[in-house]
Amino acid sequence: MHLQQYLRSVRHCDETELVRVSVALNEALQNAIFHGNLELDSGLRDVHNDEYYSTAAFRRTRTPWSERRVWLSASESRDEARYVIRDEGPGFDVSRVLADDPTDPKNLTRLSGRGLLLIRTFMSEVRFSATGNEITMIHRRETPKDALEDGETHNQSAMMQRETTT
Amino acid sequence: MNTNPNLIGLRVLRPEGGFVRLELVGQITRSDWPADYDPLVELCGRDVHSSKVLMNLSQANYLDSSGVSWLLACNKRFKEAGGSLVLHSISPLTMQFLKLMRMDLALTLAPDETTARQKANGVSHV
Repeated sequence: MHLQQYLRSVRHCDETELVRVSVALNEALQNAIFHGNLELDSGLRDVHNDEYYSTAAFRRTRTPWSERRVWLSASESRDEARYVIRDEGPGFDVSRVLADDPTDPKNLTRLSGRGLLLIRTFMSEVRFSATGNEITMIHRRETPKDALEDGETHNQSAMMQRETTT
Repeated sequence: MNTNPNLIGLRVLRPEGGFVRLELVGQITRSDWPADYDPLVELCGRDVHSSKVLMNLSQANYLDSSGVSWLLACNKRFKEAGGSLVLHSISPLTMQFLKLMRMDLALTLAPDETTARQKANGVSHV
């Protein structure tokens, strides 16, 4: 994806870390699409996995779900990558979801609930809006001083929209 | 049988010793799959879950929560059908992700194919 390529070009991190950032970004986008805009409860995946995806496919073609958008704001530099992702769904109880531990032995075979674990592990800082439909993720370079040695800075800010039908 | 070969880099290797041998190259994610798509069934048929399947993940370079969800769903079907699924020779980054999610306790993992064969023959699903 474009954001991954740009992060590579500004030498923000090595390839392994780049994969981690990409996973976190993708998880946040999937959450915004499936749980936010399409209002799919992750619990449905545990009970009826196929129904979860067929319901998603159905809602992508029906209003109000099909009219919703996911907004992504990205700012990437050598020292820091910052992503803000907002969906147009009704939001969710952030505290309840964050309290859910997918590594608890009783949850290990569940099919859902691991996206936030990956996001929080791979990103330096993660914040949610009060209503839960906006997430801010920041990834910082481990040795930011190195980035200034040649006086080179790169910044990019972009507003993009990603449709739930993609 | 394989109508959507490009959705995931899964391919069949030469069968040996009664094992179905597979290799997965690239990304383990189901974000772009159709609702009723399962690459394992597309590639090996609906009765694959009663077989002993060894899946080489040495070339897997990306794993997300949807990919883990697919692996867990596969594992459950194998358990229900009397077969077994062993993931082996897992690339370091993929193994790191699996361990982060404690999938070393939920899936059957092996360091190499020889060990995977042993586990598949005497595997006890978790």
